[in-house]
Amino acid sequence: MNNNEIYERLNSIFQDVFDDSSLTVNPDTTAADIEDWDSLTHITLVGAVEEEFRMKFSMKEVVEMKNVGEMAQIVAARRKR
Amino acid sequence: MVFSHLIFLYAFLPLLLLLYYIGKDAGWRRGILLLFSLLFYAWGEPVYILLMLASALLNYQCGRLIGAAPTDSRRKLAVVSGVVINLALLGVFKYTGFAVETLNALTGLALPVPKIALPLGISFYTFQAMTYVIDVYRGYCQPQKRFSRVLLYICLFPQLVAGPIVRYVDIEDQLNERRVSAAQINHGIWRFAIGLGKKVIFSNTCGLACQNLFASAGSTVLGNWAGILFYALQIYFDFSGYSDMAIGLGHMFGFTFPENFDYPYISRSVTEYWRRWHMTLGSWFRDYLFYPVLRSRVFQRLTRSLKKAGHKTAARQLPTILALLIVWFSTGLWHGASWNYVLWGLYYGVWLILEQYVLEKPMKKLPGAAQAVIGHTSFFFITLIGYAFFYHENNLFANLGRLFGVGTASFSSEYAVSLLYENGLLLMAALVCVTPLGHRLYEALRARLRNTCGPHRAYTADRMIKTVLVLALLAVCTLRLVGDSYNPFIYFKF
Repeated sequence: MNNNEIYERLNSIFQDVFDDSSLTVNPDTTAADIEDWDSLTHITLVGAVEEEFRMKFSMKEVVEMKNVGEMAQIVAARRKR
Repeated sequence: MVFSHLIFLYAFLPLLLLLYYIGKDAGWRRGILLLFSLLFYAWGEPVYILLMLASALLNYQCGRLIGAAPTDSRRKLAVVSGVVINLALLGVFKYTGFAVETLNALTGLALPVPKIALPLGISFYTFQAMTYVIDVYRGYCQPQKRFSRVLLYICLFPQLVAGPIVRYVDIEDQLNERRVSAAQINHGIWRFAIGLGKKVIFSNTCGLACQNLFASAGSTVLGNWAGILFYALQIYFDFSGYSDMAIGLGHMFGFTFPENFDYPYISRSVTEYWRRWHMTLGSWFRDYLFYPVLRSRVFQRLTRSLKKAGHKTAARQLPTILALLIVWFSTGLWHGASWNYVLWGLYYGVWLILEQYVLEKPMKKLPGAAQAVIGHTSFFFITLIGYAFFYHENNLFANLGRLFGVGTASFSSEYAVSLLYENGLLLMAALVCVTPLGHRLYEALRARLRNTCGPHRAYTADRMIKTVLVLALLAVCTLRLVGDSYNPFIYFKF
């Protein structure tokens, strides 16, 4: 699976969590770019990504991830599906 | 000792600055800072300083244990023991009386209620210490080898007593050595003077207005609302003033502490308010309680089983709602060992949940102007009622009722109106100062100066204006402090 595919799947998770089908994310997307991305949606998002890729983020990563690119990198290194 | 104390302003701080900057050696500076921090604390707590030293030692040892643990399970054991010890110290010294009283009330027993005085700043330094052990465990930082650095972190006087809650990782490098520029010291003095002004000019006077309104017009609806409004202003100027002073003092010694307030009263929702008010506490609860609870096995299992049963929405919302209630129960309890604080926390928790899951969508469909009007107005009343929970430690419900005319003699009285009239100017000035208006005007002036006279002259003008303002603030505050004995910081009791 290549990076594009990861981003496609991440994108549909974002659309689902933020309830916005027009949303597209790229590596530089941060919480500041998406109005509803606060601590509540962040943790929902993390949970949804973990379930989709069958992997776990560490607590440090949950708190420190700064943009979608970092998230995708961790996913790429650790995903099981 | 208190920042807004003449002894602090005219003896402690100048002496410390002098001794600190006499030596260039980093070790000398750390030593002086540590010594004065201990003096600062011992001034108010000559006995409980031992408790703080013990807390620092325990957390230091715990950090080392985590670092030296050979296996993951040992590391976990070490961090859990650290957290338990911290919470136990807080529990014993802050909540024993409260727990026994509650037990008595629930069971009808008459156990003697122990009277344990609250050690100054224990809620703050315990939370700070916990960031150290947890962050060592999470791998944010290495365990500190030197006890004196951990001690300096715990007892650093600017933020020791009432925040901001500085995490160890925020100042890990700064604890070793700091470079201070003249500009940073200047900025620190400016911030400190602003904070002192907030405290002495606004907080203390709003506090008096609040007391008078409740004492003389507490039987009227108007008196209750106005009293709580002045309390809201008092607590903002008090607490944000303290944070300004702490951050300013930090700058004077080369530390950069996190910001704690961002004009909370201009919020349009409770959610926004909690992003602007006591920010370091909010992010503490987010990172060290909310996230871990939601990611705990129990909660993950709950989510999974709800999903399996086909309740998709519930699977997404219910665990979050439960975690939010836990967080806000804890936030309330953190503020004080009394049920009114717990109810206050839960009150906000419920509003946050409502905003997140019920109110947000319909609000967004409204036109922008309507959103602003409804947002600001509802926030105003929600917050004032919230402060009523916070203010009335006794007879909470009777006092809440008075806001709505239950148990009051009349809507208004001559006395209530005349008190409001008397404090009208203060009220207006305070309301202007809770907004960023002054800051924005000054920035606009600075930009204009830069455009017309060039950056150098603009810089000089900026320095001159600020120097004059600092001296004026200091003079006014000193005059007020000389003749005034009403000078408590509200957050000292938490």
